Order: sequence, then structure tokens, then C-alpha cells
Amino acid sequence: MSADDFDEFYRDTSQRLLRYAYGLTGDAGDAQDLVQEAYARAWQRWGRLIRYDDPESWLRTVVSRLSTDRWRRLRVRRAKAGSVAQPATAPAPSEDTVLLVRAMRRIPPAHRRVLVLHYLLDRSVAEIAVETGASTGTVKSWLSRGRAGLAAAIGADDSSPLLEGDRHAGRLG
Amino acid sequence: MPADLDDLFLTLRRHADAIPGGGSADARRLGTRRRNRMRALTTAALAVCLAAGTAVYLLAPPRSAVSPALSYGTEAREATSAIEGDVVFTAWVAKDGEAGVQAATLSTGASRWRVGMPAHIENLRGVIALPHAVLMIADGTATVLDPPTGRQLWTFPYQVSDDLIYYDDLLVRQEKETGATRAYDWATGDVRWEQPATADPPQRTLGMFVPSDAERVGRFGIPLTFKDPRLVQVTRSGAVRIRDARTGTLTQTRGAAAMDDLPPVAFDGRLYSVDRSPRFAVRVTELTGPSGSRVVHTGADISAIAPCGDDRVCVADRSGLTAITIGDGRQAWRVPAPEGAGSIQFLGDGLVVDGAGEQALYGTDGRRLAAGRLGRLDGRHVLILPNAVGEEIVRVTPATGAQENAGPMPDAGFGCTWATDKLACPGPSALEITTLKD
Repeated sequence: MSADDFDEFYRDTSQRLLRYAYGLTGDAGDAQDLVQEAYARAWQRWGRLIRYDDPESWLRTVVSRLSTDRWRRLRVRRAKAGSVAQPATAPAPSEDTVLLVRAMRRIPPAHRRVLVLHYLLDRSVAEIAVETGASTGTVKSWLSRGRAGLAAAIGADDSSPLLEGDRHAGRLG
Repeated sequence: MPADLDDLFLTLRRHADAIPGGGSADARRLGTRRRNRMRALTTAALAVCLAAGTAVYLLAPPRSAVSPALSYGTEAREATSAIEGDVVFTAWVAKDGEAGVQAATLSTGASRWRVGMPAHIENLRGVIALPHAVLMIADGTATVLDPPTGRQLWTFPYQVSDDLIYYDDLLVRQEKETGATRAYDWATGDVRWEQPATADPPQRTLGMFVPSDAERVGRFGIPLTFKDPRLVQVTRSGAVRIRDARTGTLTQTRGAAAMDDLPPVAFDGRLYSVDRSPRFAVRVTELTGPSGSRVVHTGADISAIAPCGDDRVCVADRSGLTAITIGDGRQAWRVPAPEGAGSIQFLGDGLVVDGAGEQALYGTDGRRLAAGRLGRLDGRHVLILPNAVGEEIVRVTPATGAQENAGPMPDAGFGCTWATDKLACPGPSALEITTLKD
């Protein structure tokens, strides 16, 4: 079990995982906490994890689970864990990012997850289906409904250019 | 506002990519600290998920406190508790590294003693409460305290790779680095027996659980000490050696396959292990009688095993939890398991599987009974601990699936431990004890 291997894995994957966590939570601090928690758990079982075909998807699973109901106490735990350095502060989000984050929080977690996998991690429908355990039809449905939910949350009507996002269906299929 | 989702997500993506990470060294440090705590307990107990189950982190003031909070006399940056009988022991480290241990009566909340540690501490690994000793493990040293008085009895160096096996009257320690095994007297620290390293040194040393250990659960929570004197050592070459823990005498040697990195389990005269030759294989080695070692199950990415009832072993892999009948190798049942299942705790009338983000409770027939943050309460019940302060704690009876409310969740501070009808939760400045509802 090599720390060097782990550190290399961290370097290769942590930015994508941060992006994923930020997409799910919309909060830079929470994303940092979730990602560190996921990597801490990965290091605890690194000997096994390193043999997985796709250990990065395991990390995303951890982040997904934790983001649904546990991130609040993770923050508390990290805040109390005085010997663990706190990550550096993130830059302030733009107005557009705040708008999208607010809308993302209003859609169901399953829709949010597939949107994040697709838009922030460039995953295809087939890849998302494998990762979430849902059928490709379900993933397409979630993407479509997620986009519609975002449109509604942002306040656009059906004719809004926002629904241009549907063009992704071609790329996804 | 940008014209479409592509632009909005691109903006969000750029912002996300500007968020700094915490660094791999910090993640490793956090993971190592947890693993160390787990290892200190797992060397003694099959049911160590208790340790993970004690970590619940919440936010608000407690209700139904047994007594006023028991102050440490300082502000702690870390604290942890362990229960033995009717006594709860709490170790803490202050922000400046000053450390101490206190004992209190669980049923009344009355303080028994409080002692300071002679040296400052950087990393508190954990506190372990046993009938005849309390261990505080920190910074590569285990300090043995006298439970009735808190007096420091002796110390020994402890590395995470060492195996510690606890008996009522002695401690067996296998040093990974040297390959030597020693048994110590709890009261004095004197070496009772010593087995120097050989050319084929032990890789893991295990105590032998027996079915009657379940009878001790109700009184002491999860038993950490072993009653059966058989000490099982698996060597680098895969040989299995059985010693008498009281004397160190080698009583048997058996052959077995090389281990995977999953910890093996010794239960009721059998050794359960996982090897890869070339596929993942669950191997059962008979430690009594003439029969030897055999593979009872093969699969991909096996991540946890545990004996789980009469002639059964339960196996978690990336997609499911399977119960295998050992006698004929047949699958008794298979159900979905939590993602990233990493350990299985057999409760006698149920199973707790610890996943990447949740724990799940199953009946012995594979029915999923509950999920969440779980912890074994006593011989018949499991607790489901809520995420928010004030939400109801639920007590589950795995045998029947029945659930009942056990009262509101208090502030867990640094995490709670529990026994029968009490929760003990060390916070930043004091220990809170609360009573569960009948």
C-alpha cells in the first residue's frame, strides 16, 4: 500500500471530485469537506480500492451518499478536528453560478446527480447508467426532467433558450 | 444571464475548478487516524463496527441528561469514550496537547476519578475499556491505567500494524515489525511468555470467538476480551498456528492459503479468510479435527466476510451481500448490499453491513430491516442514530424487525458510545450522559 500511489491518484482525480462535490452541494466549503472525507475513507481501504477498475467512481459514490444527509455533521467534525488543516478559501462564485446553484438545490438529488455527471464530468448516458445503476432510459428521463426543473427554478418559460440544453440529448444518446 | 445551460454549467465548472483541495497528506492523515483506531479495536473484536457506529456528529443541546456534564477542566480538540460495565472512561486532548482521562458511573453520572497524562499528546488514537485495564493509545504509545483508580500501571509501544489480543488477565501483542509475540500481565506489565520472530513470522494474530461470547454482549456491550484460550496466528507463508494464549505453547499447525488484505476471522474453531488465487476466494480452515482448508465461495472484489449463523458465512462484494452454507458451498440468499460495503458485523439475529456512505441492518434471512447510522445496543437491539439533534433515536429488534422510539438525539460532540439505556457523548469541554427511553 503506497502513499505515493495514493498521492498520485489524489493529484489525478481530486479536481474532478471537487467539481462533482461542488455540483452536488453548491458550497465550496462543503465540497472541500466531502472530498477530503471521501479520500480519507479511500486511504483507509486503499489496498483494496487500488485494485478496483474505477476507484474514482467509488469516490463519487461516497461523495453522493455523504452529500445527501451527512455533510452538515462532517463540517462540524472537521471544524472540531483541530489537527487537520482546513483547506484554503475558495473564490466567491459569480452571479450566474449562484443562480444555477440555487436552482440545482431545488431539483431532486437523482436529477442533480445526473446533471452534474453529464455537465461537469462529461459523462455519457451509458456511463451515467453504469454509475448510478439506472437504465439508460431512466437516465435520459432524469436529465430531461432535471433540465426542465432547472428551467422552472430559474424562472424561464418553455420558450426560453435555456431549454437549448435539450440538444445534449443527441450527444448523450 | 447566459443563454443556455451549457454556459451556466461552464461558469459553474470554472468556479469549481478554482476551489483549492485539502491535499492528499491531510486525507491520508485523517484516514490513518481512523484506521489506527479501528485496528486497535479490531484486533480484539469481531464486532468492531461498533467503533464506526459510535461516531455521530451533531449540533444542539442535550435532553434527559443523567447528571450535569462532567467537565474535563479544559477545552478539548479531541475526545473519545468507552464503556465497561457501569463505568464510562473518557480520554481527551486539549488544544495545547495536554491530555487526561476521567471515569464516571454510567447509571448516575457521578465522577469516579480524573487524571492528567504526564506528556503532551498530538494524536489520540482511542481509549479501550476492559474489565481489568483501561488503555489510552496515543502517539505510538499505549498507556495502561487501573480502572478503579486511574493510576498509570505501565506503558508499551504501539504501532498500527501491531495486533493486540485482550484476555481478562493478560494482553497478547504481536509486533508486526519484529514478528515477535509477547503476553503481558495487565497489572504489572511483566512478560508472561514470549515467542521470538522466526523465519516465517506471523502476519496476523487473532483471538478465537465462540458462540457463548454472545451471552456477554448484553452486559458489556460488544465483548472485547476473549474467553477461549486459542490464539490463532497466520504466518507470512500462509501457515496457521494455534497457541495457548495462557502459556504461548504451540498446540497445532495447519496449512492455509495466503491472505488478502481483508482481516481474517477466527470463530468457533474455524478460520475465515479471503485469498486471491487467482480469483477472490472465501476460504474456511478447520482448526479442530482432521479436515483442512477449503474454498466455499469465489467472486469478484470481495470486500468483507463474517461468519453469520450456523454453518454460514456472509460475503459482501461490490454488488451484493451473500450468505453461503459452508457445508455444501450453496448460496442461501443474496441481496443488494450498501455501496462500498467494507465490513460485516454479525449480531446473532441480524447483520450490519458498513457501506461507503451508510450502514444497513439485515435479518438472518437477508431481509433489509433498516439503514442509517447503526450501532449495536445490547444482545437484542440495534440503535438507529439520527443525523440531527432532537430527532428520534430508534431502537430496532432484528429478530422481529420491530422498531420503537428511544428518545431524542443529544449533542454528540466528538461522537457517542452507548450501553443498554445510556448514551455517553464527549463534547468539547465535558462528557454528557443521557438516558434512552424504554
